[in-house]
Amino acid sequence: MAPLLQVRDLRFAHGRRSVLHDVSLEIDEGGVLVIVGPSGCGKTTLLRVIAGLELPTSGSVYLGGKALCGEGRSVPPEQRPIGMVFQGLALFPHLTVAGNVGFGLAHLKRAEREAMVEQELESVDLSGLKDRYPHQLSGGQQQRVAIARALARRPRLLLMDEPFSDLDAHTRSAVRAEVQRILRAHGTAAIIVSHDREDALHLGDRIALMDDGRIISEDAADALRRSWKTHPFAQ
Amino acid sequence: MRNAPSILAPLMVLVACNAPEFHSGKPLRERVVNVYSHRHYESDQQIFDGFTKRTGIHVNLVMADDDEILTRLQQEGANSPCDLLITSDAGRLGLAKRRDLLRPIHDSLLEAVIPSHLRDADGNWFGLTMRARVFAYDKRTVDPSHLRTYADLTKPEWKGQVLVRTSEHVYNQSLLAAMIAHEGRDSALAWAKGIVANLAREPKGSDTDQLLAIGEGIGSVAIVNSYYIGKLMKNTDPARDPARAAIGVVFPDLDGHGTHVNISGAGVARHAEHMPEAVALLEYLVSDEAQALFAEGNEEYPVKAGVPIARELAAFGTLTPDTLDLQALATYNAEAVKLFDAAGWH
Amino acid sequence: MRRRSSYSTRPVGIDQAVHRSSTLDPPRRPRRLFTLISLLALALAAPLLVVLTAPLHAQAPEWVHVRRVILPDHLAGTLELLGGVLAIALVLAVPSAWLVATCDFPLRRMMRWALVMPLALPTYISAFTYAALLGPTGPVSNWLADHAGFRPDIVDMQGLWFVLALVLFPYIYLPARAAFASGMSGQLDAARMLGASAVPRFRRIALPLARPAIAGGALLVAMETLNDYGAVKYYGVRTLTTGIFRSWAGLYDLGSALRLGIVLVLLVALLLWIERRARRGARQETDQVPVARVRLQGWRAAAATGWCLLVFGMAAMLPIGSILDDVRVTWDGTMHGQLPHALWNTSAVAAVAGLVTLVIAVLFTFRERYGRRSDPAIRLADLGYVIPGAVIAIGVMSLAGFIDRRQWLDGALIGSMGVLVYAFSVRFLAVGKQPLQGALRQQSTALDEAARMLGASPWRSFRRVNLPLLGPALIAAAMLVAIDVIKELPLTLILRPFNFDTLSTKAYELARIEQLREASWPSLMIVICGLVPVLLLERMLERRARSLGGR
Repeated sequence: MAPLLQVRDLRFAHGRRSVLHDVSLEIDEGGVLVIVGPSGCGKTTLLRVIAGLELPTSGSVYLGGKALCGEGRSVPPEQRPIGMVFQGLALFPHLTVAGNVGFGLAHLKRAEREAMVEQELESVDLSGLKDRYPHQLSGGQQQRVAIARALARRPRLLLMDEPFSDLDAHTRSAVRAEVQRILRAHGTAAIIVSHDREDALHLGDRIALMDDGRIISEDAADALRRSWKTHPFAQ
Repeated sequence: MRNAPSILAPLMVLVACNAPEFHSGKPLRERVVNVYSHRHYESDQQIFDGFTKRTGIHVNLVMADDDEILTRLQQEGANSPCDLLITSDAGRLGLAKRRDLLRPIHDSLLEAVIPSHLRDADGNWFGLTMRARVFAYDKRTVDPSHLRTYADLTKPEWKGQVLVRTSEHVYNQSLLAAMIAHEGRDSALAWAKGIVANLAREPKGSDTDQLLAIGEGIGSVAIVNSYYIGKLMKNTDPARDPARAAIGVVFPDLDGHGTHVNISGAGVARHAEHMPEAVALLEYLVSDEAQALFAEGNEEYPVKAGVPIARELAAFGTLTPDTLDLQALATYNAEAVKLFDAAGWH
Repeated sequence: MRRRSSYSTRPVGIDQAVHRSSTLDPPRRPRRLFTLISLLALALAAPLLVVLTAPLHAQAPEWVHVRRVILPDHLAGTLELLGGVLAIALVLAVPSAWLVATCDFPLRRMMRWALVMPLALPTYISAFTYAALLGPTGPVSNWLADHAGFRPDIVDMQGLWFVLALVLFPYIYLPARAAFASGMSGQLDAARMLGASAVPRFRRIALPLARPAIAGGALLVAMETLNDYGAVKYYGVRTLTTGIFRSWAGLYDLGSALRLGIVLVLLVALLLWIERRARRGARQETDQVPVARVRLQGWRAAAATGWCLLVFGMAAMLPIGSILDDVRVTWDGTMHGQLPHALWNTSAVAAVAGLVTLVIAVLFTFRERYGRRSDPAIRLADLGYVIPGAVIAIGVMSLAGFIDRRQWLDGALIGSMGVLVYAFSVRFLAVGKQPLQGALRQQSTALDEAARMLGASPWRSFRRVNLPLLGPALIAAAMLVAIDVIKELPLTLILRPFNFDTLSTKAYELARIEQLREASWPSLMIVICGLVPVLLLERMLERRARSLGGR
């Protein structure tokens, strides 16, 4: 089976400063890739290029065999079947939980949309909170709203940028388990960017190590788990 | 995206909504005359009301500054709704003629009433009132016999005594333009320099401010327009009592030609649609009734012989106006500004 | 397991989207809307283009004189005036803003809005009023001349510094206060914990952090100063704007006047560049946490109240009190017959122009937020604010006259309400955009991106996410434009329809013939009309501050 996502020879530069050098990677349907690397290594930029928020200098991105960018064309972010959970979550402060989750479902009829939202909130255990505003929620709850919002459109790929960075250690492991459960339930492929080894070990089928704009190794999580101790990022 | 046109729609409506009667105070009527005026006087409204009462012709009015009005007239071209242009500077009337914005009118009544030096030889414009550039002096300290001509004020005895507004104002410019016309450039420049040498303070404020300054003894002679003196005399504000009590007036002579005057005047617009109405208004403006209102209501000198001037002004003596062809004011205005700059008269 | 089965449904409508859009080439930006906005920007920039390009082909017979004599003289005057006004306005605005935002002292709540009041005063009315009071023949000078033997005279360059600064300082006070009040509380607390006392906290933390806001306000003050004509002429000060009129009206040379207009625009470009540099390193997003106010005690409290009262008294009470006194003296009932008509016209035209300009400003800020490159037409349209109204009027009349002469429309454009409102939008676009841009800068771009990732087009993202969050800034924008329209004079004067009076044209007609005291009636109405939006704006900002504090 052809991979769901194919990223080929992606280059990206901010002015003269090169951020990504010939990055290539693939993800299968339903697979979860965790990209680990020090801050400033280009992992967030990689996510943004896949999302369509940045245009690469060169290289291409294919999803389900169709070009999202490359070959002289680029699909704008709103038309890519990709969901994204932002580092700061970027919940809309003026919309309720239901309004946030339903935002991406504007093409549905009102009743359908409400049913979808209901269902989505149920799947992240937030049914009772749909009329709350983001600032009335705990950090973990906000996190789940952000995920539910991204998944409500049934994207084929979910991008998560440092999804747990704002959470304390205790909540973090609970939310991580929750994310894992939700991803499995949806069967959605995901790329999760993190600087945290634990995230990688718990969430990824595959783990990529990134440094200085390059993917320096990529392997199945099990394989990496064994060699982990010898790797420079192990500390 | 789909909503964008709905947001732009009100804009389109606004741009499309170009009915001039929208929100205007009075509806446009059948028989009208459209006036662009630079005169901003309450008394003018009374005169227009009187005209409407007598003829049934309604006066529509836009009041704005001279140069903007001329630009508007020029830009509107053949579409201009303007029938009659009224300004308060002969220079601008000359300019309007030069730019072909006016049309010649040959009307025996106008020609009979208005002295020939106060109207255009080709009938493009007609003077309606005069205002004289005179000296106001402090009666407490000044012997007016030393002040017979404009040139007298440049003598050293007036050092630190002269009050005048900036050269930004057209009344100063047209006075100097008249001097250039009569005496030539060098003599006019020498006069401006002489005034600057005698200034009591930097030129600033309005003509009325110069009169008030005399009241407070800041200077003793001011170059002002006659009708501001009339207005001051009519005013009842007690704060202005010192000025009213102190002021005397001299009608200075310009090189044997009389006292410099500028006019308010009017001309029929090149593309006037309501010609007969415009001429009717012109004729009304030189009627006894209107001329008396100009004189009484606004302290101007009527152009029509026999119409009495305001009491407040009559008390100061008789005006002998310079009979210079007023087209000269347009010809030399730019030169006058340059001389002011050369003389350091700001 | 019910859950799992429910998720096995196919993705909704997304695959088709990929199919559809992958045929589009190159990437789809909201091109149709952007094109519309560019056209709109061109329409607004057109009169400026006309006047800025006119010198290329127009004759300028007196240019030698203008360049050798008028330009250096008036440029020097402009710089002197600008420096003085800015310095004094900063001294008035920044400490007041700091006190009101971060301290508690008696009358603070009243001072919050009281210090905004001068915004309602047109500069020409203020200038006349101060001159009547403190000028060479004013009551104060007369009294001092009798009792102290000297006669102060504020009708000169230095006096004008004060007069303009007193009217214009709220343009700095408002953004500076907002910057001090929220968005830097963390840094201020940190500085406190590091042992910094009040003065170093202000000088080393608050001032640098508020610098972009202050620079933005200072720019508005500079622009207002540059295009002022009435006050400057009366005080006998020579600026580029009076130079333009001297060339146009005195030398009969419009070509040279427009060349001076270009010098004016170059000067503004320089100021814009300086402001942009001052903005560099500005915070993108602020934490919006209101600062905890320090309660002042004893002489400090008295000094704070005293300072604010002094500024308020000089800037608002003195001129307004003097106008009220003139109204009392000159009240004889002759004016008030025409006033309701003028009042209605003023409010109607201000409301319509405020709304239209708001819509345009919103569209332009949308374009600036979502476009990759900035639209040069929009940047050009921003210049309308600095070019003297009468010069803009030339551009507007040239354009409208061009259309009229071709008779594409049924009626004439010149002298229509539509063109008057259009001219106001040209002139005050920058005023409307300023609060929107400031508020947008505080919205994280992650919000836009989140919306985009949820399938929202740029326009929908802007409309559903950015626009609702702009809330008060939208109202502020419309109000600021409305205030300026109420005060505006030269455009109204020349572009108005027949028999259309506003309060400012009424005031001007009386002031022109030196009936300044009689002009007090319409002046008072202008101030009242202007105070309504000023105070509404202030109340709204306060409510917003409080609701943020509640979170």
